[in-house]
Amino acid sequence: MVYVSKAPTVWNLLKGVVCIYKPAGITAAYVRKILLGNICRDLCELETRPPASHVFIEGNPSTSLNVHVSPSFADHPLVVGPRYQPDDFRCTWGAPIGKNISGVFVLGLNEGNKIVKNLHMQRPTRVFRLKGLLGQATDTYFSDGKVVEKATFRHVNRSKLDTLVASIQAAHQKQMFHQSGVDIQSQTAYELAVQGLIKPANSKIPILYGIKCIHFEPPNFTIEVQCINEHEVYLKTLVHDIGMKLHSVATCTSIQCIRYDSFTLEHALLRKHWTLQHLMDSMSESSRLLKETEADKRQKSAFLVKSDMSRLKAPVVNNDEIETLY
Amino acid sequence: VFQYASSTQPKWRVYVWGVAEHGALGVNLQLKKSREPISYLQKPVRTHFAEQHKIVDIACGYGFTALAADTRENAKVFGFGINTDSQIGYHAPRKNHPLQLILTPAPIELPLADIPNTRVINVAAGRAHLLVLTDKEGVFTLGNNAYGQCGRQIVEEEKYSGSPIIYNIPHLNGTKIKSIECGQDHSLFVNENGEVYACGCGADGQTGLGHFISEWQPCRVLGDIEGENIVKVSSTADCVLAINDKGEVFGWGNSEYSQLLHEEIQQINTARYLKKCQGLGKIIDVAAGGSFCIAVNDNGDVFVWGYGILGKGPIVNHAKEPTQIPTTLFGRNEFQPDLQIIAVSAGIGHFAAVSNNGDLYMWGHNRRGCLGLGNVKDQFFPLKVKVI
Repeated sequence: MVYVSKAPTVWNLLKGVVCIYKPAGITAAYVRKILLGNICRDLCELETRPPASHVFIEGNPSTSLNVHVSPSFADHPLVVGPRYQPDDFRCTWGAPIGKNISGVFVLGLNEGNKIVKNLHMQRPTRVFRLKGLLGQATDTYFSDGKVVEKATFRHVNRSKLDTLVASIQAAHQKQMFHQSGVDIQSQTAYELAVQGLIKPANSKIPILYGIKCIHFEPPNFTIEVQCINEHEVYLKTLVHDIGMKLHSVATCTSIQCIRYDSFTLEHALLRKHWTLQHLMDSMSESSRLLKETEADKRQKSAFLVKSDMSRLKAPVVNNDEIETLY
Repeated sequence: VFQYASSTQPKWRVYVWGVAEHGALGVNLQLKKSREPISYLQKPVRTHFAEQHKIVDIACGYGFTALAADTRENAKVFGFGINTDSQIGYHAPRKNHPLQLILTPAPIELPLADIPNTRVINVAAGRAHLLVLTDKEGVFTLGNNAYGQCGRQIVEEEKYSGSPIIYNIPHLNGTKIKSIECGQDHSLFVNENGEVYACGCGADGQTGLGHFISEWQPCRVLGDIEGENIVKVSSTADCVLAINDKGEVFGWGNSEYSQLLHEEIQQINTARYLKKCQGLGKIIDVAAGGSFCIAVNDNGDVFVWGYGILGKGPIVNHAKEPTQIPTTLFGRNEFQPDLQIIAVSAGIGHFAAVSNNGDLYMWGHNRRGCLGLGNVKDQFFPLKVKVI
């Protein structure tokens, strides 16, 4: 165990990728602000650089002058401000995350920004858990909007939902062939298709690779989705469309990202752990993860590789298991 | 609170696509008289007809279609499309002017003895003839009989157009007929003992009767299938494939594209056991197309062989031995590890396969949108058809 008490040493080590659990209801920019504020607060509590010395020459020049060296007031933290301030850090994310989405959120610090951007350029897949509520439709497709429509949902049962979701999955997987950017009548298209799942050529096209219903207790249901190039509104629309296809209406009540590339919920730091020590641990774990999964080599293939895969969970029998993740 | 209308459990839906000009789709496409009639449908379209009748079987012939309905009325089979050989019955709304082209489903009234209780279980269609299998009264045949494919005596210079003849084959040597199949100009019957009978054109040996002439009377197919319990026969043009209950494949007929034996014999007129299908596992479904064959085993793996667009990319167009189409093309991947193909079918130039999660995949030569993929481009590997 190495204990470091000097802040400048820690400052030099603050470069890497952190994986945190973003709470719902706040924007990514606000999360970044809180995170940097916490880092600065913790850094300033360590042993920071003492104020620079200043030579004081005091006294009456005609009689005797006193010379002494003492910490300068011009360099005192109470005068110039804390030693470490949020503006000193560069922190950004690769994959954007919406305001209402909670879950795995990967940020880079200082030199880690490049790593995070490169990782996102390879378009890894993300797994979301979407919770929906049948019988209500809101104007924002989310539970924070005004309810505009109510419909019956007693006819909706588990098997209907499962069939619908399976057909959505098959349709998206078929669409993937058309979006690959290759002429579908060519040999290249055939070779790509034989490999299985391929990433679209355009980074703006969302594709759902896997959808599965993992919990159904009317009016609530939860679906797990593995997708690429998605955005918050797209996921909310998905829940709404599922409701429409079931001849009812549905609104999304929560979206949780449970996996991004090889970062899962186990690697994500909770709000109470957004402190310096935990962030440093997270950085070292992330670098280990990225090295293990060879993050820098993945751009070579257009297919989904092993790190992109995530076997969708079997239906959860016990409801409590879901609640504890919040 | 809204209550959205949802149709009451439609179990019997029929979708049609392909060439519509001859009425073979049975849907009224010309909504405005001033516009050109639509000549082909590239995507599956649902027919209203299936909402009103419980359709139990469909057969597509060359330019015509027959639907078998489960009903106690006397109209149990409906046909539409080309009717130049009366393959879908005699229809003359104006006296003595029988229709040659029928654009909407027209009822074919079979001369049944017991109309309310006899049910039609199967229909099969060839180039210009139609076979209807009932549960109690055997097979009814109509249409062209130039080669004896209707199972009745060939009449020299018989006029098939506007002919009201519907012939009945009540049984085969006393045994009940279990299933039927039509090739281009021949007919095949499987009886309850698993024996196969054939009649019709034999020029390529497709009747399997040991000769190359036409035969009107259904006779037992000779060769390696004698003694086997055949569960399915399949034929679209001149090549015939059959599987027994053990999953072994037998074939006879046209073999110009190395569909049947290793030896370079182009016509085989007795049933032969296909050694090339030996290592494929237990075959559960098989289909013989125009110049190729397809088989699926109990593990859901699909094998193709023959000549044409086989489904393994644009380069592979000839396979003498059965080669497997990678199951990833049918959607078996990490998200659907249990996906299997459960049924296959073939046309003259294209294939179809159905998976266990209810999806339809088609590939091959896309003649006028017959693949249902939304365009007229040939499809070189299986692609899922969007059936909404």
